[in-house]
Amino acid sequence: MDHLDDNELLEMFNAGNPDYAFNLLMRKYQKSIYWHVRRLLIDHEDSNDVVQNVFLKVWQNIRHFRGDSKIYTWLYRIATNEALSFLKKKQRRFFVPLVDVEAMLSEKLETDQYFKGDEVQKKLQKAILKLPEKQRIIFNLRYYDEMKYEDMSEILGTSTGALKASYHIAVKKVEEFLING
Amino acid sequence: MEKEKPDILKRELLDKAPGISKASKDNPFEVPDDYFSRLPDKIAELKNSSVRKSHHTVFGYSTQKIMAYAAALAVMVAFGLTFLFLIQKDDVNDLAGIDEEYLESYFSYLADYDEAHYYEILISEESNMLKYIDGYTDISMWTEDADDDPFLDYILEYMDTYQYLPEDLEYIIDLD
Repeated sequence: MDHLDDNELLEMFNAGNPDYAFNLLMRKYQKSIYWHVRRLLIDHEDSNDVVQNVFLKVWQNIRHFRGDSKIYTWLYRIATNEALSFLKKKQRRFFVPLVDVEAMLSEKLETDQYFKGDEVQKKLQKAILKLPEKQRIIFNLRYYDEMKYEDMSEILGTSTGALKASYHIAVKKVEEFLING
Repeated sequence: MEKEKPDILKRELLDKAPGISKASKDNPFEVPDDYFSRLPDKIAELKNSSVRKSHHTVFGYSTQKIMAYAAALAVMVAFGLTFLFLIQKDDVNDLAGIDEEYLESYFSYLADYDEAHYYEILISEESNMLKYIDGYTDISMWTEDADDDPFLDYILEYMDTYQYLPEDLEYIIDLD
């Protein structure tokens, strides 16, 4: 059953077995969604809260999913929105500019018991955190998830040309930070 | 999910980013033991409790959803009438006519609603009207220069322009 493709899972939802189909969907995508959120939020507890919300919203809304996009790009879109919304709430709660929230996340890397990367990886994460929000998402999706631009376009609602340009700029900025930062 | 071909990814990085290419692509983050084996059960538990909470319906629609629609409509009408009134007055200083009490009641009104229901409306009905509240971030609204919530920006700009800062700013802005 783990090998069911997304269309078969959707059929199962519509064929009167939604709980089972949802369980399979969660098990299929929980890791990729979690890691996507975790790279944006850094903190495990925050990421855990957001991922739970993401799947609750998937459950609440999947009956309206029309199949205009792939189901996994829809999941990523919800996850991205939820993670960004979480960051904005954090920013407002503490009355700090977004750039300072990202500085806080950068500091979190130093003390996070669940970060096991070496110094180069830590520096890479800090460089990524210095990118503007949208470039950061684009960099993560392309570099870590190795996602195709066409799928990123479905998630972010941005043309593939603009995504390629943004990724190119993000790579240059991260590289600059790694060498001179 | 079909991944990009490795040679394409490599070509994108190798020439222009030798520093990044040197970094290990292994995942540097960890999770607590058994996290992924427990997560689906935790979500299923939350899902079942949320189903129990929202079983009240009127003509097949969730009462909370109806309330959220009503709230959205009320907010749109209130803002529409206010702006119409201000434009007709043709005097920019009269923007100060949106008083503190009005703003506070507006925000506390919004704070009574569950964020999940805004989201449900946004996803299922493709409504645009609630994008401007609750800190909701719709990626399709992004432009190169403006990443922020335009509604909140408007409120903050208004307060800044007219030197009008409600006493309990945190209460007004933090809708949690």
